[in-house]
Amino acid sequence: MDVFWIWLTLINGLGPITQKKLLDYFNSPKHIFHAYNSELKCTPKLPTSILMQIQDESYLEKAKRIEEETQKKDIKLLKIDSPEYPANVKTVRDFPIILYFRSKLSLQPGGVGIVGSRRCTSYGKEITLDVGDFLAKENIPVVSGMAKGIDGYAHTACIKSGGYTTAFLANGVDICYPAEQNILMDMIMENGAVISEYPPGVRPNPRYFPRRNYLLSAWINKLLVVEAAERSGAIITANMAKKIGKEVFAVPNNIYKDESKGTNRLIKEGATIFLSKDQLLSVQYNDSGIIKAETKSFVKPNAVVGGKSYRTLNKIEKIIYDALTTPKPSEELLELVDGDFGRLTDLLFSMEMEGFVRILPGNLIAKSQSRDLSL
Amino acid sequence: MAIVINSFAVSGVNAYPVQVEVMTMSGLPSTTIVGLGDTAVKEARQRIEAGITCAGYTYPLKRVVINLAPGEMKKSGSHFDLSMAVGVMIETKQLFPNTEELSQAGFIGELSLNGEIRPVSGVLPMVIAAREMGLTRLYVPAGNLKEASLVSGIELLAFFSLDEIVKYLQGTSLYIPPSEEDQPEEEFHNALDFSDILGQDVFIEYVIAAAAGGHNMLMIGSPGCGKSMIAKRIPTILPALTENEALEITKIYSVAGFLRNSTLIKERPFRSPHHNASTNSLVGGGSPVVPGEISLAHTGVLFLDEIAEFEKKALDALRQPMEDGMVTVSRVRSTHTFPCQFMLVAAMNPCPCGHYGQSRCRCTDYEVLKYRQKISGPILDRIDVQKYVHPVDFMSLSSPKKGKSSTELREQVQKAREIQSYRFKNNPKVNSNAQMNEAMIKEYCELEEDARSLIRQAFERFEFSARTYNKFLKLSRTFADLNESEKIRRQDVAAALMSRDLDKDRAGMLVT
Repeated sequence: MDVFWIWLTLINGLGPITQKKLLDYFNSPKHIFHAYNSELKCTPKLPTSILMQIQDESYLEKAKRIEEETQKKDIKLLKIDSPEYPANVKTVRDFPIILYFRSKLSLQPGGVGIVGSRRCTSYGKEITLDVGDFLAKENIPVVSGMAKGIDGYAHTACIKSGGYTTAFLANGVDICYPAEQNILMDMIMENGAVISEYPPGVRPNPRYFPRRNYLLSAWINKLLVVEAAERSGAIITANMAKKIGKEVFAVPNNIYKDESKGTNRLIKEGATIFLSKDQLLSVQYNDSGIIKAETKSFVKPNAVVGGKSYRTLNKIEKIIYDALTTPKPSEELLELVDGDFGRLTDLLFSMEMEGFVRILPGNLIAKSQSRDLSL
Repeated sequence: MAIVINSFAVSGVNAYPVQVEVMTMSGLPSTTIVGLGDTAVKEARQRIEAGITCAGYTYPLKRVVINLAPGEMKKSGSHFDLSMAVGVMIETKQLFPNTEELSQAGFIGELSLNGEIRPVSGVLPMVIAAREMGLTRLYVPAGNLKEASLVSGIELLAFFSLDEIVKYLQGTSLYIPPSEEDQPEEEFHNALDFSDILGQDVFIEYVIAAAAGGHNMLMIGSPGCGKSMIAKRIPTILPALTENEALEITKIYSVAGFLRNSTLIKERPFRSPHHNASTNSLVGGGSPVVPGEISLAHTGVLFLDEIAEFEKKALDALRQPMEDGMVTVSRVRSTHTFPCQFMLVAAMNPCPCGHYGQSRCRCTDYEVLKYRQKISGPILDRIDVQKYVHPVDFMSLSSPKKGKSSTELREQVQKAREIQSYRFKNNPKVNSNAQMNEAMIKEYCELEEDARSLIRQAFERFEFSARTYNKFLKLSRTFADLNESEKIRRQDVAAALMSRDLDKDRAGMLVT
């Protein structure tokens, strides 16, 4: 009976730790509900105020309503006694005894958490995109918070590469917050799950976010902080993850920029500096005794990988390629081909298609880092 | 018997003849004007009464009825004053003109309370209508003489006051043409030249192509990167106006009342309505119906700066006029048709903050898309060239090197236009590559083999939609024309393929 599980989590003043204590004693929520007063009193260190609350009938009414809601909206419960309940969070004392989720849970628990600022730079976006894609291809779940910016990009990149992704929400799983992510939320449910501690219908509240961040940091195996200001949700998540003993990776970045001050500080305070995507792999495989030997180069997202289009640049292409020490508008390349516009577009377009150069927004031509040009 | 005087009314950019009938009957003194006139026509009553009196004649103390025939068409404007006044004076026997001569003459002009004749708008189409209906002479305000003389084949008599006309009609004084003040011709475009634009050489190639092939274009760029500067110079590289085009555009400006210096418009117009423009001010409307911005931009450039800020409804109203090259404003009693073949040049910021792609931009993909979706798809569909304008390095602005001049660029455009007019000589409705339909694209857009394979690869790589395929072909046809190439070569296709920056961004967006 799920209703008793829900009932147990609703009781005022009864947190996960006491809930677990009671469960240890009575075995199931149903037994707790039907327990005699005298039995409850025997439970070690249960304050009398809570005893009163347990006897309050209105909680069951509320629980029944929530159960109805979950059935109507196809929301499932992840209970502490179910086999899907991840082993790594069982040991976390104050992790909730039930979680609400939609869609299906991955057989592979944990995963890598990716968090960062909502207002991210293109650098942060690029890294998120890259890592999301990489993890998807490595079959590692991507866990994030479905916020704007880094969170959203992490989910999207993972889904686009066919991976599994989980979103932790600070509201009921039937509510989409921020509302602009509604399509993304549907996509996440198709390719993963949205999880929350809060019953359906609960609106987001600033107080809930740190708790959500905490659950996220407990759930995952590793945390990657892409970009974060000094005071931000991402930093809270990172500190919590560190406290629980999860490895935290922070992306090094410009020391002058606000959105990198937080991550740079994390590195200073002992977080692992994130230099290659393999870092997200090796330790995890270490746990099961396998160390990934093969190191992958940092592949940019829109590079064409594969032998077919791989060729060496001809002389003029090489001149253009070498001129691109920094991203440049095509106007500055024009003189390299004696002002021949047709020739330049032809060359640039071919080079772009074959992944040698990238054309950035604003029409800047840049070298594509994916190519190791051994010319 | 009522006195009949010839005058004209304007509908759209054309005028039609109107018979002004004046009759006095016994009864209480009153003046009634019938014939569906608007307020300006109704108010003529006070003007002619005062005008006649001030000119030293008497206004009849009788019941005066003035009818503007045909009576079922709405008429507007103050230019009926003169014909009414002349009619009243003949009817009251203060003036005895030659009746035969009178039936061969037309009158246009507004009266002042002092009996002076003021210039009016819409003179050019009225003079054309007068010639067409076979009138031999036309009395016009002196201030409109220059505009009226754009039409030959009709005798024009220009006067400053009612008194002068009366004296002339009575034969008591001779016609003395008003002395022409030679105004120095304004050459306002001289100040603008493409050589002012530095560091945008590649972008200018796209501007040339758009101008040469009649393609609409959208410039995307951060604030201050030179979008407006480029747009303002586009008319300077369009081919010179033909005589017919010049007359047509002058007619529109005459009807709109913008023809203040009264000469033939020789430059292609450049119109840049502000983004709070209403639908009617863009396509035309109002009462009386006046041409909108798109008609004022006829044969020239309509520049919509910050196109994303325009009201969606106003922009969507441009769709059909863009397709047809003309716009019809329908009213219950009348329809007015204005030509509007313009080149649409639009500009917008790439994202809400305007600095997309630069390190200071923090807009999320969702916000960027949302911002761009403000422009309706059907309008974007009609814009073949959608290109980023990159911000110019201020160091290159101070370099002494000058860009290509407008004259040079215009030659290129002219050459490509000639190729096109030869190509479409059998299709009177089509005169540029942008207007090609699918059958023509099949016929005229022959691709070289490696061009074909390039376009195929590009479609796989960038996920362009199938409907953009024809746009690429049309634009690459223009690039080939600019290089005087019979077939479309690989480099033409490459250039065309690089003109869809927005689509490419869309493919790279991280939004589900």
